[in-house]
Amino acid sequence: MKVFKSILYVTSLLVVLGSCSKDLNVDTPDQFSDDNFWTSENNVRSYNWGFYDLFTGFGTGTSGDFYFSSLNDDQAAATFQNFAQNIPTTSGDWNWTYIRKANIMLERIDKVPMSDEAKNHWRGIARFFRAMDYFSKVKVFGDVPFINKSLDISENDVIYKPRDPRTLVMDSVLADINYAVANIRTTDQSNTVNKDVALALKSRICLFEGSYRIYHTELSLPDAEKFLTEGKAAAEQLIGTKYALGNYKDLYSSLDLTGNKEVLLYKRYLPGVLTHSVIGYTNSTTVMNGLTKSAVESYATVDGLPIGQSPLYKGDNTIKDVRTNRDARLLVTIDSVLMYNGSLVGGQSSSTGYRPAKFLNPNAVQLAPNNDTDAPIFWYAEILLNYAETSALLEKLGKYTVTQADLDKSVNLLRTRAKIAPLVVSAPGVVSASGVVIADPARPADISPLMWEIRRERRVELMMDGFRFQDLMRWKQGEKLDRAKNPDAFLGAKVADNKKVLRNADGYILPYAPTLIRTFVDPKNYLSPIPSGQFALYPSGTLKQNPGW
Amino acid sequence: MKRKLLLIFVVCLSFLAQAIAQEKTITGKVTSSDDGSTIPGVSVKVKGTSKVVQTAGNGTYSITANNGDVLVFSYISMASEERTVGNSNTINVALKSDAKGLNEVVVVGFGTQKKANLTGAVSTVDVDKAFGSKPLNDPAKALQGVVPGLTITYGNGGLTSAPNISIRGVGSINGNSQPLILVDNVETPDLSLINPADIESISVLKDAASTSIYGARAAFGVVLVKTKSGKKNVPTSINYNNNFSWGKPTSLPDFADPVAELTGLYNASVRAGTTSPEIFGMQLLTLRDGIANWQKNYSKTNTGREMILGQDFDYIDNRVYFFKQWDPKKEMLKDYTPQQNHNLRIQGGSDKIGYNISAGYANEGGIFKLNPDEINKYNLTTSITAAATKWLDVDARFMYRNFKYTSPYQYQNNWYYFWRWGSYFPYGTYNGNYFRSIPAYLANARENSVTDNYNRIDFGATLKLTKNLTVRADYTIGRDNMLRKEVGGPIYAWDFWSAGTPPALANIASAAQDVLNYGTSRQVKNTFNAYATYQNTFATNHNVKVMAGVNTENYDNLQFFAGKQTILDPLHPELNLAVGTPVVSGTHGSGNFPVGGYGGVFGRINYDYKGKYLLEVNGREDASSSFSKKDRWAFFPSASLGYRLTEESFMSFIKPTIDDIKFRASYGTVGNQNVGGQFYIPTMAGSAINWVTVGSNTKVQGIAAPIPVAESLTWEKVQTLDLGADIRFWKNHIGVSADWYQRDTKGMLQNTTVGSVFGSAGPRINAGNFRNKGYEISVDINYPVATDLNLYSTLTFSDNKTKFTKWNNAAKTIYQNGNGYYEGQTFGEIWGFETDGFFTSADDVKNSPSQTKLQTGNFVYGPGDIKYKDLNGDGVINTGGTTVGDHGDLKVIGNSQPRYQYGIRLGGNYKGLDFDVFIQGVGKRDYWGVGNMVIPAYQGADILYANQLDYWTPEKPNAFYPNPYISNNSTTISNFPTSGNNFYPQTKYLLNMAYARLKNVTLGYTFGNQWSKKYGVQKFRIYVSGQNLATISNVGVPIDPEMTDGESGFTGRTFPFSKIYSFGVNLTL
Repeated sequence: MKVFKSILYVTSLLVVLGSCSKDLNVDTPDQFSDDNFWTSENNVRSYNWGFYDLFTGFGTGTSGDFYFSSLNDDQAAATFQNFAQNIPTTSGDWNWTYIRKANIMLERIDKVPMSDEAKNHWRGIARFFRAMDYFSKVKVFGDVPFINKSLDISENDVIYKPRDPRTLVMDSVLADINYAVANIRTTDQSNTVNKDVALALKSRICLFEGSYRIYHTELSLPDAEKFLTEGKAAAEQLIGTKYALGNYKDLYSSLDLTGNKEVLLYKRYLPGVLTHSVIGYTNSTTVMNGLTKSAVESYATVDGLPIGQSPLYKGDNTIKDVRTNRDARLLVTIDSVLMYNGSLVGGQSSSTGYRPAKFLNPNAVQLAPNNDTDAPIFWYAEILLNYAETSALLEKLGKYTVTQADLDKSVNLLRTRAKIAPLVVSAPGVVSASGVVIADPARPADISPLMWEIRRERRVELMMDGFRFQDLMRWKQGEKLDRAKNPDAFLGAKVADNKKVLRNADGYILPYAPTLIRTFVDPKNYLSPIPSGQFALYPSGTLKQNPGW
Repeated sequence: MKRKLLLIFVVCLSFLAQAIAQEKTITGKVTSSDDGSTIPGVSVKVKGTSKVVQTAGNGTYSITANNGDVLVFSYISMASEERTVGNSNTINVALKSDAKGLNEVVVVGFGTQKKANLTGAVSTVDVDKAFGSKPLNDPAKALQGVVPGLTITYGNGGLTSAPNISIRGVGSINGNSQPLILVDNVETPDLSLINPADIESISVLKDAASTSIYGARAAFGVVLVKTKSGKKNVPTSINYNNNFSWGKPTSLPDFADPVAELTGLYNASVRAGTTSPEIFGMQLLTLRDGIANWQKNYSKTNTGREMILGQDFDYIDNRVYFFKQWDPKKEMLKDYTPQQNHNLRIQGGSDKIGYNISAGYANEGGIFKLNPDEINKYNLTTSITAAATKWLDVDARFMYRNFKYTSPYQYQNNWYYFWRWGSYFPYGTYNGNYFRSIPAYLANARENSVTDNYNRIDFGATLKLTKNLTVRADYTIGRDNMLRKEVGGPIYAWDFWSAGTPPALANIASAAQDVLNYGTSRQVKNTFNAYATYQNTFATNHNVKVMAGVNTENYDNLQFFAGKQTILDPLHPELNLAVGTPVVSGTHGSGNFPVGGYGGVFGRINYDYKGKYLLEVNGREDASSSFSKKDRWAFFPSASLGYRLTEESFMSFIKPTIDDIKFRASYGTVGNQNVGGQFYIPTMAGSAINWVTVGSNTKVQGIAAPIPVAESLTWEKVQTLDLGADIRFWKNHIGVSADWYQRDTKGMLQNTTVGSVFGSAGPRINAGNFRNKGYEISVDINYPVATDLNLYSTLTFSDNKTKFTKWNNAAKTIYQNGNGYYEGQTFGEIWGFETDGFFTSADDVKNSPSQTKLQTGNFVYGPGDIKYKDLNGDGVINTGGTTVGDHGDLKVIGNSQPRYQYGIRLGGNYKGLDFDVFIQGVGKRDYWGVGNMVIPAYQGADILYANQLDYWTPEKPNAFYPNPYISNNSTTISNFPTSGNNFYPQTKYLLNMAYARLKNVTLGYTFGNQWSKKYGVQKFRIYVSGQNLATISNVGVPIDPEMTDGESGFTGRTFPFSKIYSFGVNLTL
């Protein structure tokens, strides 16, 4: 008995000793948690920075918006590029991470101690990015499930609901961006999302959606006019304010875009901190994604006329001829010499012979991935182009008549900078330059000459800037990506035979063997497939695949 | 005078006496103390002489000796006895079984136990055999194959390569499934903190019954290490051991003849649609022809390192071309890497105080010729034990480990790039400067260093309260401080990467690499253990042992890092002497550096009746900061039973043959708190965003959305059923031990599968179950063949297989990101196609099932390409829905988990000579590697190795590799390993990682006592030893069968494994 008593005694002593040693309520000292984070405006700002990863800019590696997104008719990628042939099981685009982030931010702002003005500003920021992210999804997938609150894992009826119609999603996007425009501060910190940036995004979204609804008649979508009217107004609010065009090449090749009056928002790159690869890849011995014959021919001559019409066009027998009397933007966009297999220049070559030159800056760090030039995110030229195109589209709908003043405050500013003659409205839908009525033989019959010139302006101004593919999609011009239907997009410069470079019968560089075929399938290739891995998670039949896939 | 005479007389007498004494014959009989039986073959030796006899069949012996001589009776598996020759001419001796036998005391959780009474699955390591005579600075390296069920693998052969240690295979998909490693009762994350020479014993606890006393951390077994400590009543000894060794890579690919290599790469590139294949602007065909020209005209004369313009390299078309062919392995790698170890130990003890002091030094060098990496390691251990009073023993121990690893600043992944470029890349200099290539970076790099100091102080006291009751308490303070320094800076070399000739002598380092970084971490762990043990025998036959105690720990981890760019002078790299952008970061309590606390109360009862029926019951109530308050506490019980059949009186007839038969059974539950993080907290991670604000020079720090958390989240529970038997027979010469077990891991944390619309991975829930079944067998044999020849052998064999018995993946998708698991899956399985040879012709392609769905890029299947088998007969080769129900033509082609692991040890001694041979192997293991070393032309701008030139051409239709195509690193199957076209995971190119390896051979010689005595030496032994001397394997590519790592994810591009030759001495004074 005595023994057991002493065991008991000793054991309890030990337990007491042990429990004294340390409580166990230590968590993760260097991580915030949802329970302790929402305490100040500054914390909300920290949270907001996460959205800025959505601004790709020049990107890292080969992921950037500029130059690298080469699946279009402007560039011929160094290795043949085709549409996805199979449905992937997962997709980075089918991702609601930023939507969830925005929804949580909207729900937590109420409890953060700050002024109502601040609360409205940050709600505006959350809705800005929610609009931007849904807009990206609609471009890629069409209809998508619309979620506007943070979800609990148990809400299966919401998580696995069918896709919402594009109209519902885009109406919500419009509501979000309108809220953002109304509530975001004029300036919060320099070079952050402000009211002007919201207007710029609004004009981009509205042009896209309005034109998509006009041209994709098969979908019978309503409200094109609403989007275009809103879009035109948003652009108009920015025109003639503090922004002005500067030097074209500076926009793409400056070490520092701070103070550039053309830029609304830009991505800073600093050596050793954040760098990109655009210069490295356009100044390297790795074969470059060259500009196509189609792209080079889209630039007008200095008289403002298309090459098919202008007496100033010298033809394309030499690169010197190609560059004579042309749009000044062409001269900085491509190199003054051709470089191709068998005729390398400094060991370099381009898939088409035309070497992209507008991103180069000899004062920048040259090697990938250490390039340090700044990248524009939103800039004035696009606003001007959006204004002109929304105006022309409203005209197409019979709701507006484009005036000379409209052109003079938009595309003609760009043309003047490019040293080509301005467009003059001679009749509704008809334009002239240098006193000649423009009649481009390449223009399809169902596009007005005015619209055709505005599209040309957009193409050449935003060459390699990442817009072209989605522009073709919204104009329902997918066939421009089809090798059989648009062979010029798969040709390069005209060169002499050197036994090494592959050429077609007319002497134009063939970047790829003729056996490599890219076919655009309508309507399949207008939208991406929903990743196959998702279907198994949904109740059978709830989630529907896009047409053709 | 009388006295003188007397003296002479006495002296004469004494001479006479001595003469008589020399003729004294001693006789006697040797018996076993266990059962009194006589033992034949016992060696009886006069100590310090070569005089030796053996006992006869009836156990008797006869030997002549002097008075005062010492007779040594020794016999394998028995403890040696010594007797001093006195007046009697008869000396009978009863020998006891030694440590190998039943009286061996095994260290178990918070105590010890006689091996005979063990009821759990516990293995012990023969420390002398495992660690002796080997070039070692990490104890884990010597444990491969030694203990059945203990798996140790290394992914590469680097100096700092860390072992993956597991007991009985994978336990959970979360955390690392590592066993709990305890050194003197204190958790130690890394065995390499311990000097192998300091280890006294290692026990490996495998089943729940043995480990549940450790509660929530011992789910996957426990490795208990006891270090040598001060002992009372031992004579002073001074011991010195050393080892010098030289290592050489086991298996490396050969660089190809560049002419053939470039032809292959050219064809592969053209096939991929590249119209003018080049590498760094060098057109492949121009380059090839230039190299052929060099081989013809200059290979005999241009043998120097300085390269000659116009011969060894040239300017063509504004680019630099390299023609000289090198032997990159000879240029860059040493023939042998050196290593040395020294250990000194002094120990002794009086009846009050015992002490043990040891010091160790290890040095190991890396394999690169330029700026090789190096480890220097110092261990110091001091321990003391003192009897303070009759009822109180106190002890203290101090352990110190200093480790310094130096390596060149890493401008690039050196191994990756070393293996990336062909042998025509420039290894030489021009005007004394290197070209922009590996040697330029390595030769000019400044030094990086990691210095780590581990200090540990233990204080303990043992209280003997009564004859039967003792209390033990100890407190340990452990501190691990690490300091890292990295010094970059500019490197000047001929920069041929950019166009233009001649190339500029330019800085080839980036701005971010012109940097000085300091990193430091401070890890603190305090451990308190206290337990009381009561032991008694009631009514003669009822033996009871009760133990109860507490254990608490708390730990803190702080790590931070400060760097600054633009070093003014790389020779004076300090923060104050750098002027560029500062970078500071740190962690406190996240990721691998948890901050928290842990504690529990535990108890154990052992009962046996006459040592025949054995029972053990354990329990522990545990709390961990890994879980929320309401889920924090849990109770882990276990029980085990044993039955010693041979103790039954009716079994006595069997005793002469079989010494012991014991059956064991155990069942219990243990927890796993190591689930990879504190997932009950809705943490909001911080990360640098790719955005730089105006006026700042760093990226902004963004805070992510909170992770979703489940309502309840707790331990993974691990239940083990273990059935075992131990048999010892033939006078203890042979022992066999076998265990069968079933281990269920329940409630493994899993991210809930959820649609992407949710916007995050699902919260972690306790959802998945594992079942692991396996068995282990070990056999030990000790056999005295002749008087001076003893042989021994141990064999271990084990196998296990783990299956998912529950997993939240209703669709049973294969290889899905983070959800490639499904119910019924065998862990480690590899899905792939079955290879059906090569397509023989265009018609063959046309008439075979279509593979067009598998084509990526410009690849089109044609003659010489891989033909996959149409397993489901639908005429199309595809992967269906990539689910178990619809897997197209995929099947399970292998498994990456090691199976059928074995170790075979054979050794013995003959007179002074000893030898030991250890073979270790894995019976089956598959691996799907990626990267150019295992898949030819995996990525463009890379190499073809010599073995990869064996590719298909119309003239060589039976080659090993298919018709070459560049860029096989894309797949049309999401989440599959990134290899496609001809190299989808498939049977033909699956790596076979099975091997049998001669892990160690040691040959030693101990000099005779007489010789040693002259110099006051107790023992002097010299030995030679070899590691990894021979390997039987058939990997399929020239890489080591143990290799699974690779820089940038390219299998094999990393530190190679080595064969090691060594010698050394053991000296005891």
